Amino acid sequence: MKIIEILSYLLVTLLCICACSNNREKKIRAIENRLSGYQDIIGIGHIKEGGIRKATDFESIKIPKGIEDSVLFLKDIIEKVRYVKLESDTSCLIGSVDKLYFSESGRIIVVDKTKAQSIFIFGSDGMFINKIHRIGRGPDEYVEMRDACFIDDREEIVLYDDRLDRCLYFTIDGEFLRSERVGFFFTNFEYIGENRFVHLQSPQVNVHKKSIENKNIVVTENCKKILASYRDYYSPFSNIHSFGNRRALVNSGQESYYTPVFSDTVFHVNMVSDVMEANYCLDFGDNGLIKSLNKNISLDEYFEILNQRNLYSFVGDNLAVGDYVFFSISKGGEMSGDCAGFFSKKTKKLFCGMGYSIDSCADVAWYSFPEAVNGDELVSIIDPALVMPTELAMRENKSYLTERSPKLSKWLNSTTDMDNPILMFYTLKKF
Amino acid sequence: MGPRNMIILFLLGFGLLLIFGVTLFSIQLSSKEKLLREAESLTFENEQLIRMIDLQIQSPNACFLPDYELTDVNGKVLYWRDFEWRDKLIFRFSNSNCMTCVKAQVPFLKKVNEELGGDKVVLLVSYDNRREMITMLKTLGLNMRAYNIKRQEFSKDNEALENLGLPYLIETGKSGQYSRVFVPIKELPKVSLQYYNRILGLIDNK
Repeated sequence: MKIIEILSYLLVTLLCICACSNNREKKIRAIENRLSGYQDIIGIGHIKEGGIRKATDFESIKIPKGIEDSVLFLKDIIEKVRYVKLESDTSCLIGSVDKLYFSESGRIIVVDKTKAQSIFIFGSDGMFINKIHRIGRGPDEYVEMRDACFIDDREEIVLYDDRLDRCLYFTIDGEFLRSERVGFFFTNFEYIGENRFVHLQSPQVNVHKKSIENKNIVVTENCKKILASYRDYYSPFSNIHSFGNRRALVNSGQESYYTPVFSDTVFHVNMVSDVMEANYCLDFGDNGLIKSLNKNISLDEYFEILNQRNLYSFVGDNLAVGDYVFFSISKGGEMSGDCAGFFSKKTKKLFCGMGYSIDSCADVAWYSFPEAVNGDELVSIIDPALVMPTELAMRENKSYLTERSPKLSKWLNSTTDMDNPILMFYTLKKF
Repeated sequence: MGPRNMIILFLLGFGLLLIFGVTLFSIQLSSKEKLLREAESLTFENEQLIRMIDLQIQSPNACFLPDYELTDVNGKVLYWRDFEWRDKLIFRFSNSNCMTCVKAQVPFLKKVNEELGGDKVVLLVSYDNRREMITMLKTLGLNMRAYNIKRQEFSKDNEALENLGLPYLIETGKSGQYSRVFVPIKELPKVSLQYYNRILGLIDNK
């Protein structure tokens, strides 16, 4: 009688599980159908679970309490500045600069995935060379460019189409090379050398491959074979899930950096050692948003606090050049840019403050914080549409605060709101 | 049979019923029917929303829209009063909307414009600058009349709609005021098709 009893309980439990897991099974089957043959692409072998550790030179950068009371004078820390105006023509009109890459052969690659769904290729002098814009379902076409990146050692551009589940490869001059299927979904990716790519993925999307389902970072060989996965998606708040950082994965010259959501720590993505190293963290003290919130906070309460704009948050806007790191932070909201800092890992000195002020160097800080790295140079984007109203007002009031380079003055005087951005390259003084 | 066994039998029966019920329900709901069911519920939700917004539209402030400043694709600054807004279908979207949601409406809008004349659809967009606006229109393949409007200004008078974070459509009546609002959802193209068919006069214009 006892056995029947136990068997009955087991049967009921089993039946309940079967009933509940029905939806998940359906989701898995749907993805398996869509990505049929994915096992051959991503490999059937064991996927290594990558480790995480603190780098030996890990830094905790203390953000001063009154950071917003001071102004970041970029002119104080900039050594050399040069400008490149990107050619403007109706055939090469950039909607927004989402990513910027620079090749050794002297190409400037502008990825515009949000507006033009195109990749623009310019020469080092800013002259337009070619554009990758092939919307369609043909073998060399894409329906939706989810992301794109630059393979620096092969000088190839790779574009990920998440609607047709494939990567398209192009030469540095925009000629189509090949198309390759992918076996999993991701949102962003960067090339990290030796044919390896690092991919950022959202949790519970890749349900067809359980070992990576809840991981945030995946490393592949040529966007195909999955080699390792890193860090479980984690939220410190019991009621807030499926959030992502706007700039969780950034390219900084030849290096890539990862900032998990709800974290003020920046990881250097270097997979040679199969361990992801925490490079530095921003210590906001009592002013940090994440640490100040209750774990049981609701989504509405979270946004309410965010909109009060009393606490600082960091969504991954960072770059590294030599011994220096750059970061920008905001007081509430998702957009970065209220304040920024440059930190020397060597001397531990920090230059930080409000970014946008009439007192700061109008050539540089006023318009844009750096958004890319080219060798030892940081690169800012001067967008005419953003700059022109201020420029006109300044011209009227004759209120230039710094000497302009004649070239920049000439460009700014002749530019219109329809012109492509001017790129500003600058090196930092030693501090 | 003791009460304990009765409980076991009951649980067993309940479990069996649950699994058969779920399976039967799944079989009955073929994907087509499931979509229709979702569409119905969404239409209902959409109607609720429209009712809510209709109430707002009927408010005196919304009836007399401010004279918004608009910029056309050539950079010319114009005002709301400069245009004939009677009997138009305004497609409203901005740089904060998801591109896929906007894209999903493009074939419908093209069809409406083709069949009802070039001036029927007007695009009212909010982008940071003209370059962004033109690039976006080019990418979408939309060559209708388009105006850029400052989002903050427009949001003040259309708060309920703008806060949805979705693109939407506004029909203007004979007096040029809002007459109906529709919020299309990309996952449910059938609902959108139904809406556009009504615009095209293919179904009862209620």
